[in-house]
Amino acid sequence: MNTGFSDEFTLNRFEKDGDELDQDQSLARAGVVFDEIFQRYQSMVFNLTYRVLGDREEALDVSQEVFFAIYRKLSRFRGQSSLKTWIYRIAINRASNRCRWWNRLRRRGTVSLDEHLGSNDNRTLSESLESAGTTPEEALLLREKRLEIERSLRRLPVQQRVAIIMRDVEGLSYEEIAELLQVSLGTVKSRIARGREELKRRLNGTLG
Amino acid sequence: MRCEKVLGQLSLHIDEMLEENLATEISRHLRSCPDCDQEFLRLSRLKEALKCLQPVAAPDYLGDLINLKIQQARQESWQKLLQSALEYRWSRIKTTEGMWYVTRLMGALATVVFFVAISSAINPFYFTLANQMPTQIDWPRSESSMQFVQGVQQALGMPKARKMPVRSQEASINDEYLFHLSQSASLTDHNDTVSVVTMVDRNGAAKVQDILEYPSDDSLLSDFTEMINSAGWRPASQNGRAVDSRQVRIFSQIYVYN
Repeated sequence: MNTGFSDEFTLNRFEKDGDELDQDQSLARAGVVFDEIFQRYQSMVFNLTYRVLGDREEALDVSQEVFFAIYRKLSRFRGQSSLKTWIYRIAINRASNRCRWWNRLRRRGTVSLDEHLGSNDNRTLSESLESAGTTPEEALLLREKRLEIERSLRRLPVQQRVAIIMRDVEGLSYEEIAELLQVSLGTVKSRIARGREELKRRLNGTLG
Repeated sequence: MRCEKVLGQLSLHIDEMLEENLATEISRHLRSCPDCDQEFLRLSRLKEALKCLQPVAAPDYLGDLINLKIQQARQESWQKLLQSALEYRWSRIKTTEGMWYVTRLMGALATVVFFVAISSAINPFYFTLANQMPTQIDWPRSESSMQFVQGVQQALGMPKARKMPVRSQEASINDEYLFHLSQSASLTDHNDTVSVVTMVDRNGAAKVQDILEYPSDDSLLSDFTEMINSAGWRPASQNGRAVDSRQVRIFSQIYVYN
């Protein structure tokens, strides 16, 4: 399956001579490959899960799950899709499941997600300043605007949120999104259009 | 072009996902319609704002956490792993996916029923019928229920019921030709067997109801069916009255005349 991702890193060398190696060697090699994968994709996975879940602690937890799943399934990865696609898919599935789980709890009244979402911005001061403009006022305004967008994004239905994040934040093409989510192109188009419409409605004042 | 149609396509237009003709038409419309143009502008701002969302740095200790988890997993025995996996699955069933599992289970059951039904329709299971059907069925009766009935009868002043002996006689073939034919031993190496379920009605007419065993020579079966239907039968009787009765007739070692 050709995914169109520019993923020069593949597990080919690991896969090809895997048969000739004894088990210990292949395990050691798997460890090396896993470290390489972790270094390469940790920020992608963390960002994606953070954007989908909107919570740093949850994103940390789900990222651990994702990498643990990668570690366990690595030996069974046969390269039907590119490594990046595979990791993306695991991360999105795990994050969406966690989101649905939260939504169910919220519906049962066990926990208030709004309350949970309210205390999300756990960034340090330096991080905030780095991301901001030159003067403190501008920085504050930008920060407010960004928070407003993030808040609105979190309130979208999971499927629309995931589609929007993949398209507008991660910059993937419609075809790539369809392949990752394993849905039709039409579904991706409608999810993105509806999600944007909803975001536009919510951010009425912020967008001008 | 109408505004509603244009607004519905704006999301695809901004991503350049529309065909050239439609895209040109929409661009033309946007130039002439300030409302739609405003919407397009807002959509562009939204897209820009989303694109500019700052990437969040993963904490340094993420790698340590994962390593810890991997080491824990290595040390844990398979029983513990199995237990935690089962606990996790059970909690999922309990909290989230109850209906999903129920529908799966029902689907599996429906499949089993379906395949059993299909296979038994292809290869039906025959009950082996006794050579003679019972003329009287002895329903099991408990003593207490009989005593109760007798008590009621006594209280109502009814005469005590007498048990009537049932005299019965089974149906038999009057036609000597068929009788001898069916009893004849084979003189050649033909050793065909036909067994049929025959219904002899109270008028002495017989009809083949079911064939339990087919002869290897198909023509024999039609001959026998014809003969059974046309033979003279004495109907079965019960307490002196002719009744319908069913019989299983087995014709074995049939001698075939040229």
